[in-house]
Amino acid sequence: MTLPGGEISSRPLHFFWIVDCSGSMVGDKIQTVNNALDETIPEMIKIAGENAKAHLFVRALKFSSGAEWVVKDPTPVDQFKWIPLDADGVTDMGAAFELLSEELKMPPMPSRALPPVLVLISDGQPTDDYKCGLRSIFNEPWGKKAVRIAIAIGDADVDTLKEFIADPEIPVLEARNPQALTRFIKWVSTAVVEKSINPPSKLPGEKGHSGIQISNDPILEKSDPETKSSTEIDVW
Amino acid sequence: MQLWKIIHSSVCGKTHILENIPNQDAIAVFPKVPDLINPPFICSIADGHGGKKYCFSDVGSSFAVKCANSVIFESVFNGEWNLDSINNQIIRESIGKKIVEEWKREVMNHYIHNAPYSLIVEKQPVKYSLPINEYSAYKMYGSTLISFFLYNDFLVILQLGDGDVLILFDDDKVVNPLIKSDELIANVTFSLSLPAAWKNFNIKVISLGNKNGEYYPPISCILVSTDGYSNSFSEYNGFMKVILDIREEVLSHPNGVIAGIDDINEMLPEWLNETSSQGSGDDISLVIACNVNCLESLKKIRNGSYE
Repeated sequence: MTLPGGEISSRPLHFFWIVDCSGSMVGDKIQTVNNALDETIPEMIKIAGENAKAHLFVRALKFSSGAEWVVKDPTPVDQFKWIPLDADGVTDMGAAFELLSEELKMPPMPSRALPPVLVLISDGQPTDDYKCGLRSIFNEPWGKKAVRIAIAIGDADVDTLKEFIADPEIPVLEARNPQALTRFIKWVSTAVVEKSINPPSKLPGEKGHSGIQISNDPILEKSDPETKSSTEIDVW
Repeated sequence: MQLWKIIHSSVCGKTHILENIPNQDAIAVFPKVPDLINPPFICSIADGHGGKKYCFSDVGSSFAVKCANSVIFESVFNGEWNLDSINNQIIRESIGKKIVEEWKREVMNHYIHNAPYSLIVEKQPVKYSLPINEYSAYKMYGSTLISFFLYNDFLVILQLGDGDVLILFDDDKVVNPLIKSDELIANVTFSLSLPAAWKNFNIKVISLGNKNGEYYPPISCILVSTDGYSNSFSEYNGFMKVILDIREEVLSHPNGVIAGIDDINEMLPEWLNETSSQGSGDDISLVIACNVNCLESLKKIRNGSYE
């Protein structure tokens, strides 16, 4: 049967890792990020395979002294390979936001896409004008509508990460040890992706920028130091 | 007088089938005759928002198309409209506003009589149980709406929320006459359920023929669909090609234009099911109005040139 019209495909879901590679990440922080991101790829492939409604594309961006794409092209998740990152330099988060905002423009982003998922992982304080970069993101329709998640490692500047999320219903995920960091990365790669594939309709002005409801997820409760597992101790 | 033939279909998306959720779309065409018709006619299509917050949106979309056709019929066909002297603002205030009022009246009536406490509790979390404020009730029935009607020498289109309208002119030009806001991405949509919803109607009036210095060539076909259809195509141009491909099928049918349209009508449900399955996974509803005279003229020209 020949269907009328052009090529048919499920809607794209663009997923961005934005990773702090500043000098303070040296050691087990960057090692844990590398391991967790590598290990989570098969789980992302599984989730994408179970949800034929969307094509999942992954990209990665790092920042330290400046910012640079690690994987710039939208890469189908089953072809995505994690390239281990090294840590060195300062925390030019604003530079990363500027690079990201370019990719959130329409085009290259198609209007039919699902809300993109932006995941920021950081352990420090921005050393450049991050507010300017944030404005660039929020100036793009897809920047405003994106699902924005932030994972704070150790004593990261939580207020900056809250500004990035810009949704009081989504807390910053505060990881104070490798187990928590791994757990949060895996949760973002699975639960958040799954919910982003099936977004509900949203009316203008409704709470939450993306329409994705993750505020009631148990993992967010575990980000609260008072409810975390007793076997986990703060090392960062 | 031009003869038109209107075909339509609505299918439940794969995602809703898997979750045992009914089709949230609705279609209504006036007059309800399957054969050739002369204008005026009205077509409306609506897409209930779906999801837990909009638990009666399948009912809301059916009210939307019913109210739209009824209001347009009463206001325009049965009224004293002179489309030569109207503008978008007048249409928004006199038709759009009435549609929203009628829809809200129907919704509240349904809510009071058919959605008692027990049903709401069964379908929704307790937070939606009675007593409920007016807008929370409307929200449960939330729906988009696109209506178009052909009256005298005018085509009038009203759109509230997402969905698509394509017009194929005689000169092969395909146009989406309504400009989509950049804000309406990521499943964000205007809705009949919003306060002052009528203000969000996007309206286009196209005069058929040469009027007020504007000239449009004859229209071959008008296609209106819910967003599940255009969201199934990798590129928007691929979606726009649909109307060209359908016209090509009609024109190349060995038994003539009307037989070609009838064949398309039979194939529509299968096409839409397959498109939803390979594409958006969403419900898809589609109305195509074909200008039979225009298509027959085109076919004659083609046959003449082939001979």
